[in-house]
Amino acid sequence: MNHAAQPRELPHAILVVGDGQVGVLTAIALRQALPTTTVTVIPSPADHAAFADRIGTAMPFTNRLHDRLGISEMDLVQRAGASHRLVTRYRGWASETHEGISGYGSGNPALGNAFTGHFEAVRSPGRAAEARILTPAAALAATGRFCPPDGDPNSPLATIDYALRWNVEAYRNLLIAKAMQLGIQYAPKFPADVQYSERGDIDAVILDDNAGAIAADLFIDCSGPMRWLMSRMDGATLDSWRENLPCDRVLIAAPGEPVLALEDRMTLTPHGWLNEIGGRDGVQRIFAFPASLDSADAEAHLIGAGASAAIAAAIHPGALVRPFVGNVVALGDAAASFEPIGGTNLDLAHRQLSLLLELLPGRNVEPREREEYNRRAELMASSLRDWLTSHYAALGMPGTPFTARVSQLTYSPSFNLLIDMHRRHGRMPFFEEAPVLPSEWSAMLLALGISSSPSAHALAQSAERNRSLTQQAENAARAAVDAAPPYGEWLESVLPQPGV
Amino acid sequence: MSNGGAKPIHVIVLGGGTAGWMAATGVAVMLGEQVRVTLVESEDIGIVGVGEATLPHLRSFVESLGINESDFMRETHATYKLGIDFRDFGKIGDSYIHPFGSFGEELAGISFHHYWLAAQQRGDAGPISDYSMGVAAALANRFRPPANDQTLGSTYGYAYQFDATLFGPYMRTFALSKGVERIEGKVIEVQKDSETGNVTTLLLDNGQRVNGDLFVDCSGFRSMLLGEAVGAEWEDWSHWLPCDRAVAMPCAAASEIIEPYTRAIAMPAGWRWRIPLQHRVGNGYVYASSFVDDDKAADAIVAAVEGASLADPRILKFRAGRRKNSFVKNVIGVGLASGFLEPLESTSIYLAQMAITYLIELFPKDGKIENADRAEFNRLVDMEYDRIRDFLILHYHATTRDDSPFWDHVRTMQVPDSLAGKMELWKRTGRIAKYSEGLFYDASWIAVFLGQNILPNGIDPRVSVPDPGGMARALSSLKHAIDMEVATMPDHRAYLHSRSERLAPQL
Repeated sequence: MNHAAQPRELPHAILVVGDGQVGVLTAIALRQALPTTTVTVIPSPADHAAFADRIGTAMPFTNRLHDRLGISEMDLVQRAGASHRLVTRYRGWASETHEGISGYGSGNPALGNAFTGHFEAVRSPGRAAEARILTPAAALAATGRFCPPDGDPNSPLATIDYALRWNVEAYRNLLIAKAMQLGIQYAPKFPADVQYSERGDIDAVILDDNAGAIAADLFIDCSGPMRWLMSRMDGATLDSWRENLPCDRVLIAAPGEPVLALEDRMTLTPHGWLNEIGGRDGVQRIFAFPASLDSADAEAHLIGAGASAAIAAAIHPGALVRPFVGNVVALGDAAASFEPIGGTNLDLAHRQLSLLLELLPGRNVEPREREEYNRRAELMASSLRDWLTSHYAALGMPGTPFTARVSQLTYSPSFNLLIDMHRRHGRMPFFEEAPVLPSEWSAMLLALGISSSPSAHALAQSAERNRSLTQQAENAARAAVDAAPPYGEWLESVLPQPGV
Repeated sequence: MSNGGAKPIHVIVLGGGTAGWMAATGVAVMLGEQVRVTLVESEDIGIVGVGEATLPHLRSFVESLGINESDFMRETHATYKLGIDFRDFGKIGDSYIHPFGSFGEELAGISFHHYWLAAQQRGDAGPISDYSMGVAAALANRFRPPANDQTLGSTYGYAYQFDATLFGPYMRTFALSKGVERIEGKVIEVQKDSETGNVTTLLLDNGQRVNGDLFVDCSGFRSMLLGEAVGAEWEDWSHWLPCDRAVAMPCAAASEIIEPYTRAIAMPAGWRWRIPLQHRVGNGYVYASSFVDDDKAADAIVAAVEGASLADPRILKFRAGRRKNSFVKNVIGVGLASGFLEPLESTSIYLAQMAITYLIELFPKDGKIENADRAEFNRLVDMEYDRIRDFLILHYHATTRDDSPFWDHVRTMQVPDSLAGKMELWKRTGRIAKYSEGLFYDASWIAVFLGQNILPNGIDPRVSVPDPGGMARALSSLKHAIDMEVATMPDHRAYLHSRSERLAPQL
């Protein structure tokens, strides 16, 4: 053996800038990974466009990250108002009366992709409603029945994946309590300036109010699109997505009335889209639209949906070409800022955090490792951009101001590839680090009304086999409904009884 | 499902070797009535038929065609394969197994090998092979199919070692039963549409004219349709992979033991394979003709084999590289007509299978081929070839051998940037550049890096956190669990013989 494979020196100190739900969770993850490292969190100035901090929902990936960090789903249900989203209902995307549903997971592996293709092959307009019931998640959402799978691989609910939504403040408080238990430091002072090392890394962040400086080996920027740290680093350049995505204005309504639903809604309007995220502590309504349209029109849609006051945010859609520069890593909206569809901002933050944990630097950053981080983060960002773009590939409402804006978009080569493959072959190419599984992506395109023609392989399946697969799918959906209690009943059974 | 009475697309497969019959079978079975498949082959043209070792992917191919495993094993004299034993690669005297499977388990999000490297520095760990089910079972000459659960018994995979000269004919019989039409004859002229440049007709030496819509070129290295007729350019990789010949010679099994793994043993100008089949052992020396001549190579393989030889040494010629495009006009190259990477990691049959799979996924349903389909096929084929290429080069480049001009060359050559980057990342940090599509993921790279003595300077900082005593105990209990599990597995020969349906009659 000619080399000594030694563990690299552990970082002595890490500073997280941004104390929203992204920053606090990041601190928890780093402290758990590096129990001898001092991890400090400081706040950053409020940023309305820090969607990963402000919106209380993510995607299924976050459930796995929570598990790994010891954040129990039951805690979130009992203490942070969490509820389950099984599907998203798309309304008005392909036509004024269009509705489509998509969920998560690879579905029933026994049915496979051939079945998806076939499903499209035999689907006719008159049968679409019937066909929707073929997934267990959609059947559960339609009947309002669900309880989280208990880990039994034979349960009819075992293949169902889901996302959570929660009360942002309660969730953050829960995280803060955990952070304090872990001995994470908190300095309630905004950053004022930075001190650089000779090679241009950050040595320390100087705090406001003459509160001193915090030195660290690694700095994490969780400040949202203002990029408090990254904006002070040479080499942090933005890849603009203005040509690829239409919305750069977002209205976030004050939480509305409580809504207990297993589905969320994404509704296309003539001026932008409305996302309604169910919640036990109040529905979250978000409206996104292009700056070129009148914000009064946007507000009218929100009010029409039942919302009262809203906070407006402007974004510059795009991602940092290299979200890890020097000894500074940007996570979430600091790394990529974009219209907040269905919890994807927080999902991206969490997937980036997970990547950072996988490639966790030592006290000294290795350039090759940073390059690998940036390579994979760039793949994450670009396929997320394509996933967002998918929503606009086939809008069925001609003549609206929003459609006019969308018609000016340009598509990336990878997006053109996937949409062409979907349409002509019922096939989803594999994209490294994609935000969703290929099967989830296909299902979403179908739910948006972007039809696919079956692959040659799907066409070759016998009618008998197709009947049997259809039967299996229907049985699976029925079994799921039979196995699950009404969702409200399940919630009551796990929530602490008042007065007990 | 019928295709509504539309005229089936006529697919012509040229060449009746392994790739040809795999392609004909795959297309006919997977696409049913939408296609009519005709295979043109000549009894006068021999097939290469080496590729005696396979990868686990072949199992899903065979299964999806509806082929019974026992039947297939009996007809091809197949044995089970758990990995490849590489000898004398990093330096003379070394031996390591690259298993179909992993080493240890990830802990707290950190790959096992980081903990292992740290423990080994402290003298608290055995060789990395102690912590792999696939390796332990292989070394014990034991076999049982992996469990289908989350237990230790599920942490390995398997493939087959078989007689490739029997695999093609087996697929032929199967294909003919599935309606593939076979035409005997030698192509003397390929006719093209003057306007589109598409191939329209193969003119045979017996005067027959074979017309088709889509042509699958499985004509081997000659690449008669893809290379010659539609002019797909060749990209040469022989500067990185200089081996360009093999001399093959089967021999009788010299012992009762049937190893459930293939051996790849480095030689002064290449390497030699040893592949145990049911009743014989396949051998061959893959060499670079610029470093050793044919006679010397033949002498070397004759001297190396353990059992009585069953045939004279047979020389095969090849060249590392691939066509820059494998789908041009209405011609798709599959197998050697498309490219060649030497059999060091048993990838030849995989590469044919991969191309067939992508062809089926992208099959032009209405007979009209879109440029986008060609581009996507070519993108996928390139990705697959490039990843395997880098991995193969690593086996040669990661060495301290300086005992022959061949090893001096490969040790000191400049490798592709893509590989140099991966090696640098490993050396600095012990990390593997991640990808999830194509062949050879983390565990494979780790097996070769460690097996060929490329140790990282730095490893994950977090491995210094856990208590070393606890780590040592965990390692020892993992090794113990693996040993216990392997002890319950039957001997490979005994397992093979436990069902007579998979045994070929003793010749």
